[in-house]
Amino acid sequence: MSAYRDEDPRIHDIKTRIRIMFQDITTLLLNPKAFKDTIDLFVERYKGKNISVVAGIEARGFIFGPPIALAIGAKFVPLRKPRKLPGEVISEKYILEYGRDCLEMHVGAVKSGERALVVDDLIATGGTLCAAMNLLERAGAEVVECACVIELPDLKGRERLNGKPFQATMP
Amino acid sequence: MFAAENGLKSDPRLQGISEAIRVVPHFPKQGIMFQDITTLLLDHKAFKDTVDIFVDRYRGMSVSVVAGVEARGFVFGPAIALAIGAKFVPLRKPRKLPGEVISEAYELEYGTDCLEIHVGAVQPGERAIVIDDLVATGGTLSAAIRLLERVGAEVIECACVIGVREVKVMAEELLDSVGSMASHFISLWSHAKLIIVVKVCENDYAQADFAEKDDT
Repeated sequence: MSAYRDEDPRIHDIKTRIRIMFQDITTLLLNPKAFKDTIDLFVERYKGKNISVVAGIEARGFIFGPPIALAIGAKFVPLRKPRKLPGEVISEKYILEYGRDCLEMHVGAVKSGERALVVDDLIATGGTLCAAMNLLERAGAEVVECACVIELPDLKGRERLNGKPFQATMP
Repeated sequence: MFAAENGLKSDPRLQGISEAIRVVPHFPKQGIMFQDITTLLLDHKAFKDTVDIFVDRYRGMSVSVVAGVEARGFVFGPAIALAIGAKFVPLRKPRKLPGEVISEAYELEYGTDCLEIHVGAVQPGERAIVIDDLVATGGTLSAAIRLLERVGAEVIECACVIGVREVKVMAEELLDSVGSMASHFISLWSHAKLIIVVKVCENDYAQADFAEKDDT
């Protein structure tokens, strides 16, 4: 799904609805057909691949992750900022451009050996996705792929994913 | 407005949904019994049934806007929007939405918070529903309704997975400890604008204040 191969015809309309300057996916969500196409592209890619976990990164990963999970028959696991998830959690710290942050996942949400996707709206430096992958792998899951609507290729986020497959709707 | 009152009582899906929600004691502080929907999301059938109950209700009602309250409203709202062919509009904490926004403040038990919507997301005359995981005092939902009405939408209903029954009881008895905060709930309730589809828990009303304050 890159500009260098034949694009699925639905992608053009999706692209025109994202305000790239703001990296703002909210305008995409205002067009039911384009939003549905975005989800459908992911569902077509992941259905039937024995994926039982879709993990979404707070907060915009919560918009795309659940519809994908529901369509492919997987559970949805929210990955959240500290102190949002009640009960027992595991935490993963990660580095930002200035400072640090932390992502948490519920203990017991994911079982060892489950096949998982990580979903967010956008990949920039890859720091958050990397932390998300680490959480899932610490729980014994196999991260099959990381999926985002937008990739900012100049920031080389793919390279932080330790060779894990990555899929973006655009560019 | 509770499931039992709007004809869903015998819906076979309700029990599975209710049982999939877990209660976490003393979160985020001592004395609060937190209603945790994340266990519902781990149960594909129960999660799908929850979304389907909302979809069954709103399909065919000419709803063109599903507004979801950050962040747990984002988990349910988009799936509903996609199924009924509506747009999804996120209502967010301050400074999260890029571009031009309007803001609406609302009361917490201690202090205030604020909800924002993008200018231009909604056109005047559009029919909207508001989605969140839980309603207690109704303060957040009331702010959401005000935001949508300020941009000219007609809010048909607010829909939540969980409702805190105690607040309804306390509000009706006008207990001082609930005070003006419960007036939102009474208002929503009496104007037939609120539906709690699934689980009703007898619980401490203060949960929602902390959940709303900490929830981004």
